Amino acid sequence: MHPALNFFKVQLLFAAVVLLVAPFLGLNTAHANNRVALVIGNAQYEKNPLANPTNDSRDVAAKLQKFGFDVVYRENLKIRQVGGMMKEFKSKLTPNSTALVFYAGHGLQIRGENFFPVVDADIQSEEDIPVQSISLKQIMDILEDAKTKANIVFLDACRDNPFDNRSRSISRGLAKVTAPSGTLISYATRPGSVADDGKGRNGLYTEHLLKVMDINKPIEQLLKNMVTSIKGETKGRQEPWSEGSFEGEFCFGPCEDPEAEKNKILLEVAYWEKTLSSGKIEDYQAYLANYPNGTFVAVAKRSLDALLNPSTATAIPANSVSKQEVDKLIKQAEEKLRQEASNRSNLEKELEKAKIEAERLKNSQTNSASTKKLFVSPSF
Amino acid sequence: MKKILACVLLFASFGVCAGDEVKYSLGLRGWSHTYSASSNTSVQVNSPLISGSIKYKDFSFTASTLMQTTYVNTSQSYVMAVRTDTDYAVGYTIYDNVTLLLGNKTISGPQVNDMVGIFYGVSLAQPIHDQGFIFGTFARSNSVSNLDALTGSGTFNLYDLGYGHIIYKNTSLNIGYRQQVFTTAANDKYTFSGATFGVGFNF
Repeated sequence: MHPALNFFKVQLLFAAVVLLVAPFLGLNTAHANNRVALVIGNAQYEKNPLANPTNDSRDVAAKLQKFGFDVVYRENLKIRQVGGMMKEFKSKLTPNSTALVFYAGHGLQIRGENFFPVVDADIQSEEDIPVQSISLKQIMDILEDAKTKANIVFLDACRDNPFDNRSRSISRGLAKVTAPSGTLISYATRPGSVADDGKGRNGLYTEHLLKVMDINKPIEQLLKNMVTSIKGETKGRQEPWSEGSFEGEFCFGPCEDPEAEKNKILLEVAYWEKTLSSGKIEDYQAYLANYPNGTFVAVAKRSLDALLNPSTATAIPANSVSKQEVDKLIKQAEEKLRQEASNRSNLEKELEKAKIEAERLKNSQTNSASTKKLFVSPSF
Repeated sequence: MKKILACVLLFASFGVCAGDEVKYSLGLRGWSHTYSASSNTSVQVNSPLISGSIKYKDFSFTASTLMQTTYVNTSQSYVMAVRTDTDYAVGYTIYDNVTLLLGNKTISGPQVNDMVGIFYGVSLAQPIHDQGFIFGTFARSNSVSNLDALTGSGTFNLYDLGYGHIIYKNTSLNIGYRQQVFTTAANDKYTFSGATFGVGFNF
């Protein structure tokens, strides 16, 4: 059979496999029907403005819209705008909603209750705070009244207290919250601690949140990833904190399960094996197009380069150059041949590694030593 | 049929059953061991050990046997002992590969009363690389009946350690060391210890 036909059949087979496994890859892009978000970024405080919260809120809002959220967005919120914002947010919530709240800006606590001051706040005493701030409790009450399916709250608000501590009741950072059932709250740092406003475009917490939102994994896993990365970056000075939970699974995009990841790898290995066996330029190009970030990209590029630029040493007439030059060209040609042989050898090694990995993945579903579920029959 | 039987056994033991999640394991081992008694007599024998387990979620049931083994003192040409062990145990996996065991051991032989004891223990299996794993079983019985002709019961301790290597998917080879110690009320010890080697299958 002609190699091209053979490869065509392989591609058909590959397409069939993709169609078969697609439902298990979590490729379903449908999101929950009713996703509502309240996003607030307060930066331009009359006292102690912050650099990043409006960047944070804009970036988060844009990303949430991409993930199908109906976003109620406010930045540099003033006292007279609070009521209208709450009313609008409340009107969008239904019992089937997944509600998300993101706040970036200053935050403070009085006797365990959290407040986010509006940008025109002029706080002279403890009594000024509840009337010149957004109350987290008020937001929680709205969520509870709406009986939403799941609530996720991100508070990048544990930045330094901008207001003079005129009362001992006012504390640094935020307090833990009594949240309605089905609510997951993520704080930029541990309750009572202070978070970093960041040196770039975003606060440190939001910067990491924006990164993990693109990972199609459950929110709990993303929060764990954030803890690891932020703790690492700040050498333990800042540790995001989360509490609460809800039933079911929430991912910003489609949730991918671990089985789907394995299947993806197996598919790629199968595709790569067929590309290797074909050895044709267009098949390497097809591999690179299908797997631009694939495992074998580096090898595929080298192989493709070797195929597109074959040695020209033999095409040069020997009598047109000096003997030294001929020797040099021969050496270069030999070196190139050695390099190609080495590439081939590396290729085969990588393929062998891939095969072992594929076998390991298959075995892990049955009973290899790499699983943590070894089952050995004892005798007594 | 095998699955149905496993389900029946599991249901009887734990009241649970789900056909597709039942796992089976079979172990065939040779035990090249020495029998030593307090009287300083010792003999060397080879015995086959056969064990089979079924597992559903964290619950397992194991039956094992040491097939009939005769200990002959060749220097004095007399039979020291003849034994056949029949054991069964239920297990509960508490953490990854750590399983708690509760079982019954019966040692029978011609012209002697069966020695019977309830034992408890733990078995472990830990991967150490892609194909290799270590395993171990530790069990103890505080009271084995008819162990001592004068005082009746005694104690029993089992130590079984080894290394397994998966050679193909569900098949592994293993090598290890196994020791059984029976201690009478009069503190006489009967020790059976030696190397094991065998093969294990998972289905």
